Amino acid sequence: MAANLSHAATSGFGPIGRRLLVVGIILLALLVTLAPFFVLFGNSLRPADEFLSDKSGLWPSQLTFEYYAAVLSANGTTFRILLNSVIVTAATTVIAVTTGCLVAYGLARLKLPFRLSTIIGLTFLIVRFYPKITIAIPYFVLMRDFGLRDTYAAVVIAHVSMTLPIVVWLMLAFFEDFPKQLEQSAMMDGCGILRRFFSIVLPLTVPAIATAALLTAFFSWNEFLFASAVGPLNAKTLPVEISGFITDKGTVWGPMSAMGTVIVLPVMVLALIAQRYLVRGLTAGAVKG
Amino acid sequence: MWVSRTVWGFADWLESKIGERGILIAFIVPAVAIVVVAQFYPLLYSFYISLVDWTLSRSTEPGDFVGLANYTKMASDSVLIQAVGRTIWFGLASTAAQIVLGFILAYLTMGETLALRVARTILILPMVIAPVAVGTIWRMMLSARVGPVNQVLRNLGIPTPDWLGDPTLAMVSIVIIDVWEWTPFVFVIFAAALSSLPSEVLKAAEVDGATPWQILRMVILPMLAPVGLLVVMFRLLDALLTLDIVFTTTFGGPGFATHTLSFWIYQQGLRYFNISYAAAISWASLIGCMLLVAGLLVWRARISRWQKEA
Amino acid sequence: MAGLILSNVWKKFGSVVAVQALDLEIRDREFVSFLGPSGCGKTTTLNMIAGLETPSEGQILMDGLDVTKVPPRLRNFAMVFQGYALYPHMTVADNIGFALKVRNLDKAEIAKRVADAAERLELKEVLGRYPRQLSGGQRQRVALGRAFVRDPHVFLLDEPLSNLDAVLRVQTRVELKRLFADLDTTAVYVTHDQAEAMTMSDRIAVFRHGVLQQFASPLDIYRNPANRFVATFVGSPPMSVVEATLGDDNQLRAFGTSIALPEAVLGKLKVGKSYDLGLRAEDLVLAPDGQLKMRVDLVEHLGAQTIVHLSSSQGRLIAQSSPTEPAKAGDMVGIRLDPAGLYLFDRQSGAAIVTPGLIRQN
Ligand SMILES: Nc1ncnc2c1ncn2[C@@H]1O[C@H](COP(=O)(O)OP(=O)(O)OP(=O)(O)O)[C@@H](O)[C@H]1O
Ligand SMILES: [Mg+2]
Repeated sequence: MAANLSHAATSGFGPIGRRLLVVGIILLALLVTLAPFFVLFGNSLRPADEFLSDKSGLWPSQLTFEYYAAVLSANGTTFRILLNSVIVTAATTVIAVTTGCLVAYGLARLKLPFRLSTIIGLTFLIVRFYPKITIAIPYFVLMRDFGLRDTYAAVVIAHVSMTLPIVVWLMLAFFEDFPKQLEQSAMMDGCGILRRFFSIVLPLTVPAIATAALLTAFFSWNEFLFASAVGPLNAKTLPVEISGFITDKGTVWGPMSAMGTVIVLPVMVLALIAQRYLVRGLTAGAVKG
Repeated sequence: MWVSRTVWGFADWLESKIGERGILIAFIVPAVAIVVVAQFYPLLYSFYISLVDWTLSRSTEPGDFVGLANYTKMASDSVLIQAVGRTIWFGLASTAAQIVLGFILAYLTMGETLALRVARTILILPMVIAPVAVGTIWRMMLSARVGPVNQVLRNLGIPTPDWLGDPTLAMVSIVIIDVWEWTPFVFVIFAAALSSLPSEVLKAAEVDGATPWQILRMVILPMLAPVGLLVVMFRLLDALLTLDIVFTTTFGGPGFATHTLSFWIYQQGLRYFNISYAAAISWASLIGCMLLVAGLLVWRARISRWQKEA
Repeated sequence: MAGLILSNVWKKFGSVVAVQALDLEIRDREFVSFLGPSGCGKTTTLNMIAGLETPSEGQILMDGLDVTKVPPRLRNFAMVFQGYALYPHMTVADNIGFALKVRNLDKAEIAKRVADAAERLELKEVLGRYPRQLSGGQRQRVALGRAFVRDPHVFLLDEPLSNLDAVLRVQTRVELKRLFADLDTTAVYVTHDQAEAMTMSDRIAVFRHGVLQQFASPLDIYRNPANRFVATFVGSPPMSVVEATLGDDNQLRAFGTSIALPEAVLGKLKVGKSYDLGLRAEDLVLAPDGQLKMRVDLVEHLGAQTIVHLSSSQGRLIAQSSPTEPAKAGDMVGIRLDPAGLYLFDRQSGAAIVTPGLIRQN
């Protein structure tokens, strides 16, 4: 199709001039996309005194690793926060994907009256559509009442409840398309429902699970509002910490950039590696096929 | 071996006890419980909070029932009224820019050559990183004196504005940042939609005599319109609730110049602890958002009649 | 209306050669079929004629004009695609009228022509529906309607009937034949169904692996095939091919028996050499006094025809028997073969040396 369209696109203009224009636009877009990352990485390696000059150039003339040493040093506070982020993200991903797979399979296979399966599925989807800020405050009150304020659990439960809709809708689409005959033949072989689910369905679902896990992990790693509402100190995550740089400590660009890089880089690398799954997850539902 | 026998034996025993339905229902329970407890209960609770008088810094328990007083208070909150106008302006401007740019990029990067595939992967990056990191990065980018953007402008001999410090420009800067962050979302959806267009149909249009421009206007765009409206819905909704970027770039300033709706709710609720008032504003915006979603879905249903089977 | 000439046309996709050194001359108002197995380059050739693909090499001429690089929209050809390719977001009426609309015809004229086409194709009731809401046969007719409202130089049809069920396919085939008889316009019709090619075409071009094997009238293709591939590809049930050797007595030895050859063809053959002997089922008749004795393996009753699969230690044959006296599996039967119906091919190149068409000519 692409060949066909580019043919359509070129036949009207001088082909070479047009192609140059297209390449130019794409290169410009790439430059605009990448330049901020470049600046972030550069600033995370720039010695403190270079920040003050307005002639310092876009890339530092000398490199320093002191900010990373501070962020990653095992007894510093930032390392603790990094660890929090890892724990919260891992727990959220495992819980959301597990419970999400189960509920999606249940909804896909249960024959409930009144199209209850569809209704429950749609109800889940509503979570995506109301302002999260609406529940940030009562959630904060709720966690306080449960005595869970400022614990991992408070943050993780919030993240799981917000990512479940994505997982459920990804998996629901998958299970509904899953060839029924495969399960029926397992049934003829004498497999009960649990065995069918765990040894026939799940192994074939790995790509979809990978997609769901990726989206969930990214969300949790990046999330700011709830983490800041219910995890201000002990369960503080990196996004909360980096937002504090501006309000409390003035602009401390070096450490801030190092921390920014720590937040951004793992996600970028994973996104580049698992690009196929990511795109599938992002476009699921909106685009068929 | 014996482990697997025991496990499956237990599975069969369980199924014989509670039946296939029982097991499937057990599958559903945990997720439903989590969503109900962590989302729907707080949602309803926030509606309750919006009807009482409760300032968390004064009392740890809800106060008296005050009816719609918290809602009527909004009418006289000039910061809020300005924030709403600003937020709508922001949502429309950034969504429009994202749709146009995202579509153009998707259209131009169609194809399966290695270079194009790499380009598409890179173009997605801004949307996957943390919004607070986006704000942090752009705070440096747009810094008036030493920011790279102004360094470049200065070298080109172009005036260097104070992007985030100037009251009129600050909101424009936030639009630019939002566009940088979220154009990739529009792009990725349109790229997928374009590559799933039936190629024979496009060939048919060529043979039927349509010019490239006519093919774009009369075939490609109408076929993408239903997806396009979904994208508009997602982007508009998110843009109207943008918080993270404002939080990490301008923190609502200078003055009130970049106070958006969500930022004001956050300030009222989690900074001043006027949680009743914050709940009332957020319920009002929830209703507004739902109306918007409903409107867009009705519109989408109208333009996508052709997707329905008989 | 126009004649087409393809001259030394090649199409390569990377290392895949889809079409090789193709020379083809399609006359004005001729109905030509492209026939061949899947992947032989039929669609690619059609797309090059349409302008949807550019040849890697060679030229395409329309009425003597080089159109090789002319974009499709300027060629004024109409095409029916393999998968219909209806515009999903347009009603049937808009689908049929699209080509006229992009040519800026006025609304009344478009409406009139669409109504005409709809009348002819029995689509009047569904003009306001979208393609999703049509049956397979209706979609098929819309695709045809989209081509027929126009007044193109050439019609290009890429397996237009392949998605229909058997009954509808035969029915539509007849309708199409009638339509084209009225239109009297050049048409190229791609198919891998030999019945379609045989019944509809003035001439058939048979392709294999991107190479044109033969371009001739249906009867010639059947009775005078250029090579073993064409002979075995065309005809149902398929031709049986066995090894045969020409003896000193100028008789052909095959299946342990001798077959006398017509005088006229002997000049083309060498004594002692082996050939591939091709026999069509209709030239092999079960008869108790037949010279070949073989065992019946399998009998297929097709109603009008009964196909008998036979074997002996020398090889296998497919023959025809009369439905009234059917053979049973396991029977030993005699077969009479008609020497005027035999084909001989070079064993290496597959080129035809003797064909029924040739025998009759002499
Ligand atoms: N765009 C392409 N890229 C690479 N190879 C292609 C492309 N289009 C066709 N081919 C190859 O060229 C050969 C001829 O393809 P073509 O579609 O012309 O076959 P066909 O005769 O129409 O077959 P069918 O009956 O299955 O439609 C095939 O081997 C096919 O794989
Ligand atoms: Mg084909």
